[in-house]
Amino acid sequence: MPIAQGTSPIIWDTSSGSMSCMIPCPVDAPSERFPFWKATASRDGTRIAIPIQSSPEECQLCTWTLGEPEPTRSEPVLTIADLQPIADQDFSFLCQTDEGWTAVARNVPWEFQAEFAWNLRVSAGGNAACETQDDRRYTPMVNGNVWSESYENTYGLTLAATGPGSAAVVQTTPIAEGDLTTFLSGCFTLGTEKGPWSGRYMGAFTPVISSDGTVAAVDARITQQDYTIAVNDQCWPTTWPSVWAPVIHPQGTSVWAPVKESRGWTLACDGEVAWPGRYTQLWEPVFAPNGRRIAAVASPEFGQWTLALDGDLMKTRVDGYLRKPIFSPCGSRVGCTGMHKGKAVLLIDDHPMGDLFDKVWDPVFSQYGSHAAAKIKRGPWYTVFLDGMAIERRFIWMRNPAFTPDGMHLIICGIEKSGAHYHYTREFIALK
Amino acid sequence: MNEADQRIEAIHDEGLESGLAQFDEDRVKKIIKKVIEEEASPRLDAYLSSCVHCGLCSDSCHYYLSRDKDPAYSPAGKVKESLLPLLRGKKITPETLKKAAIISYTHCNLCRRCTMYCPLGVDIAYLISLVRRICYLCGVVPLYIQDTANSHSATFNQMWIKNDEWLDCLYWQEEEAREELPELTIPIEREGADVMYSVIGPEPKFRAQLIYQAAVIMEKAGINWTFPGTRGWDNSDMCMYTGDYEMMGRLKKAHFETAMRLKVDRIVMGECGHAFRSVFDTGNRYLGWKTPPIPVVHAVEFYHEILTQERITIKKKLATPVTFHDPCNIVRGRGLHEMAREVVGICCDTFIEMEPNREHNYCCGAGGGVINCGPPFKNERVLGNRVKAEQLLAAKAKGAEIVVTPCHNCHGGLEDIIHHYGIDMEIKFLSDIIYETMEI
Ligand code: SF4
Ligand code: SF4
Repeated sequence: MPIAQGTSPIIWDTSSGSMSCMIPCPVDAPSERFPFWKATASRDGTRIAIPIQSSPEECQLCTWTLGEPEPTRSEPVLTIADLQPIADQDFSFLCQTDEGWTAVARNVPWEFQAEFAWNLRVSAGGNAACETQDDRRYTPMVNGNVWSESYENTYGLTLAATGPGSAAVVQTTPIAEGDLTTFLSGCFTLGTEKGPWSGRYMGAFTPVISSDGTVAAVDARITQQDYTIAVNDQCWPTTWPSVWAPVIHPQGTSVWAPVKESRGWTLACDGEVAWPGRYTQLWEPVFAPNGRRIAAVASPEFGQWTLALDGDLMKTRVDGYLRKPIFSPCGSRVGCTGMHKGKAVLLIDDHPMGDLFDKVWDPVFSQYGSHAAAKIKRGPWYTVFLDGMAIERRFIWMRNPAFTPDGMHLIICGIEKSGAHYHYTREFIALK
Repeated sequence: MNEADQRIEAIHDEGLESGLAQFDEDRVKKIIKKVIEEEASPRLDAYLSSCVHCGLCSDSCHYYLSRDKDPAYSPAGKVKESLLPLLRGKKITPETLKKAAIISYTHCNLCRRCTMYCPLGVDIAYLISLVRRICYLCGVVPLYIQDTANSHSATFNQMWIKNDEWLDCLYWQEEEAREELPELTIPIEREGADVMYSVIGPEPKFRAQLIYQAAVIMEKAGINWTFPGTRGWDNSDMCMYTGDYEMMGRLKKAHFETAMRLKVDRIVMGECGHAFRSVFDTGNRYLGWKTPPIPVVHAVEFYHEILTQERITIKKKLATPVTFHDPCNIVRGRGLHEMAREVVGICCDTFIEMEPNREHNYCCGAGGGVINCGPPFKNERVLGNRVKAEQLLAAKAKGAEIVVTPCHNCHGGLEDIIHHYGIDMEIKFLSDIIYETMEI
């Protein structure tokens, strides 16, 4: 079952779960050097992992578990990168040893060693993937298995949210420096674990894949001056002077993308213009999880930004920027973050909330949209903004909050300083 | 045929020729109509109708001065020879287009010096950019700069650098720097950092020591900073100069979005001028942002800040006399000349002004993508900037041994001039002299 963003899985839906553990400041690392910015909590919040430099050359992943006095330490490695949670309690990361790079997912290193690995992706369904380079050939890997083909280059590997599918932009032909002809002939396409599409484009940019992995799409440059969207190896019949990254309907039934018409930007669906409005800019379209609404960031006039919801502009305007909108799991509410007059803003359903924070992260909504929360930063401290109010806590690090599926609690996980040491806390906040 | 025309005719460039091989007059006319009717701003009409051909701008252009006042190299003359035949000519031939492309891509640095001297404020660089836009849409672009634009399209950086190569360079420079400062880290993808530091492709490719130096300066200044680990790390933009504004927009979106994703307070850019123009002026506006959506700070401003706030201290000033070359895009484009002089003053004992200077300085001749047009145009570029050699020689005669300039393109342009005219001077970035003189 897909897990909606910002909603925790059912197994840790318990209000008795508020706990904390001490993270002693290591004697071998000056406190200001303790890299909390690299910390990652497990999805259920019961564990926290931090890569710590154990010597000038080596580092280890230290993992603290609530209820256990001592952390576990991984074998020393040269580098740990892209640390992130996988499944409920585990972590995945890329690591470099003397033999090369590999990925570790759920404590198990993949057998494959490459000269380089990057862009670790983890899906809600528990799959992990990364891009690798070995002997100047580029090969994405999914769950430890290499793709069927290697390429000149890969870019933007992305995983289906729940299914096993993966997609990336791949370069199929080498382009020597100064070779305009080969470049013009089209050296890029979209690749999946099964191989490349047959179409070749002059450029391809942001691959997207449906949650079950059956539909993949990409914004493609098909001549030097013409762009379109390619879906499952078929280009839309229309081209435009520019397009932005597409979005796939949650049921995989249609593909939408911003396209540039001569009078301005608008939204197209399956190759045809679908919105009546024309804007100075339009990008970052996103569907509600139920597929009934679509929102995008729009600039109705130069220097002004708002959200467009199903083709209608919202009233709030900001002069800085807005980021990709976020729908509530039920699709009834929509929010996004941005900047106005040089200050961070959070927009929830066309209501701006600012002045209370210096930085704000993407909002999360409870299952039925009755509550909204976001991680915020004020001065050096992180806390949570819940339904218009900041929670009076001062964390030096925290992860995004999450709602329990019943909408009764908000889970916050963060690190606070106490004396010479630090405490990691997972807390359930009862909602009214 | 005059000398300038003979030089143009003698040029053989694969990029131009392959585009011209597809020449179709109707298509070219349609493109011109589209650019004029749908893209050009009212400035076009205003400039064309207000230019009185007084020639007051001529003496401001280094090409004109260096070519012994040949009118073919005067700012208004270049517009007359490139834009007007496209707009007003009844017949457009491959030769018309070739000439327009060569003039617009390689006889003008888009340096905007002439605009300051025009009593009517005609922005020649804008008019020349329109010619480039038309040429780009016709597929008639010099090979080398088009190849760089292709690199942007393929990799989102200027040098065909793949993602692993970028990351590898950062790890490598961190390792190197740790030999000097064991505690140093080059933070990659540090979400919530105060500063995202962005550079141009040649830094990881050819000048990795600049990444090292930047890391040492950041470390010693106690800056909470990060490098992006993804596309968006490169702030350069040759598409802005070929006239491929769609790709320019794509590059700038990636750059700003990376900064937004990393939740940084501001972007600090390395010592590059054209990238600053793209991020601070042209690219952001093309996308609909009046000002950059994330504050952008050029290295000159950043170094000024950390030196005047004494976040780093200078151990011993550089004894060798230096002069300073003002890069067009951050001086005429942003007014950073006094700050740059203060930085030089903090780090160097003896500073010798080049004449003219500040916003009146002559372009290095590389700007506007001209150096990126490659070897077929190198001679023209170097001979078209004899006045820069004279400026350097005059500063040298007063004792300057080093020319400091905070711009990659200026380095390239000045190197060629120094080499061609046999001037014995060293060229340095501000970060070179800061690193050399700071307390570590
Ligand atoms: S090179 Fe500079 S001064 Fe000369 S015409 Fe171009 S913008 Fe004007
Ligand atoms: S651009 Fe200005 S200075 Fe130059 S000829 Fe025209 S009016 Fe005179």
